[in-house]
Amino acid sequence: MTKRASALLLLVMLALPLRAGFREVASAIETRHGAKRVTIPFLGLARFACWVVHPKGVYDFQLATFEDVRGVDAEDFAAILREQVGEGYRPMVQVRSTRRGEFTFIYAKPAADQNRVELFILTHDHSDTVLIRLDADAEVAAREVAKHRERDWDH
Amino acid sequence: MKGPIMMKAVLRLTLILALTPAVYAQRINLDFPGLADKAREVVDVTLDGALLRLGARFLSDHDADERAVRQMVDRLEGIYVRSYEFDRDDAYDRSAIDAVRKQLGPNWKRVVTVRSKLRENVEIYTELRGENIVGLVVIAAEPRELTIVNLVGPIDLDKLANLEGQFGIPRVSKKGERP
Repeated sequence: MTKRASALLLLVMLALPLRAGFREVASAIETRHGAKRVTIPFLGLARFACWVVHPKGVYDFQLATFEDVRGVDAEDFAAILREQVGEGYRPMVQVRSTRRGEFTFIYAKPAADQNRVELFILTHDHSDTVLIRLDADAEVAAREVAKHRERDWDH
Repeated sequence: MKGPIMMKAVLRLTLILALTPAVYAQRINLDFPGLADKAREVVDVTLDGALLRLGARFLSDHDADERAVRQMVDRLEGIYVRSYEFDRDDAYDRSAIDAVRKQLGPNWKRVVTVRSKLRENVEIYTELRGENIVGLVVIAAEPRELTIVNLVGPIDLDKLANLEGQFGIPRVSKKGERP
């Protein structure tokens, strides 16, 4: 049992550097902008469940939300992403509105498995910032989106 | 004996390299940092390679328009969109438009021009390889808005209108006007 637990711990430790981009970006948002990271209870448990069950084709996710992120420049956040997001990620969609004080950056990295994609999403709305990293099966995600859209059409 | 084989291999490689630019469509550099700094709204979409294939999966098979877009996107190599909206008239440097035009080589032909003193000016350029269109650039310039779209890869003009409103490409025709 101890051996199995050690092996699992080792596996997690080995896997961590691969996810370093998320930690780096979250930490840069906190330190450079003095943002307050919100603690989400049982998030680690939800992530573990994701690894096991893959709900709606999601294999892994990381989520960080920040409050009181005021007076930020979208370009600062864009620079943080460019510098810290990690190898293989490429900018896919970037939308900024200085008028509304909102911005969204989506970086994507196709996985070796053609069906999977890793998405890195940073979105800011007034004073709240949300950072998400998602490893999902694109086919399943597309099916889910289509299902919702068809439901909308039916109503 | 080894010499001629080596020579053949070198010649074959040279031929492949020489033909490569003719096969692949041209991607235009649309990055103008000065424009983004002045704009109040910026949309920047870069979809190519595997990401484009993934993006196409989110289009529905049940909707005829989206199915047509999916078929077209499956053959495309890239979709690049830059759209900027400004607070006041003529706030942006129009040299960005010239910079786009200058990148268009001899294979590019202007196929549509719409000029208006008060509203938007639209230019559409296509890149031809033989009889096939392998690239497209749309420049839509209004006093307060500039949108540049670059499609790279084989393009079916009949299906092109279906791309409106997809992947960040703005709608340019009114509802009911589409062919």
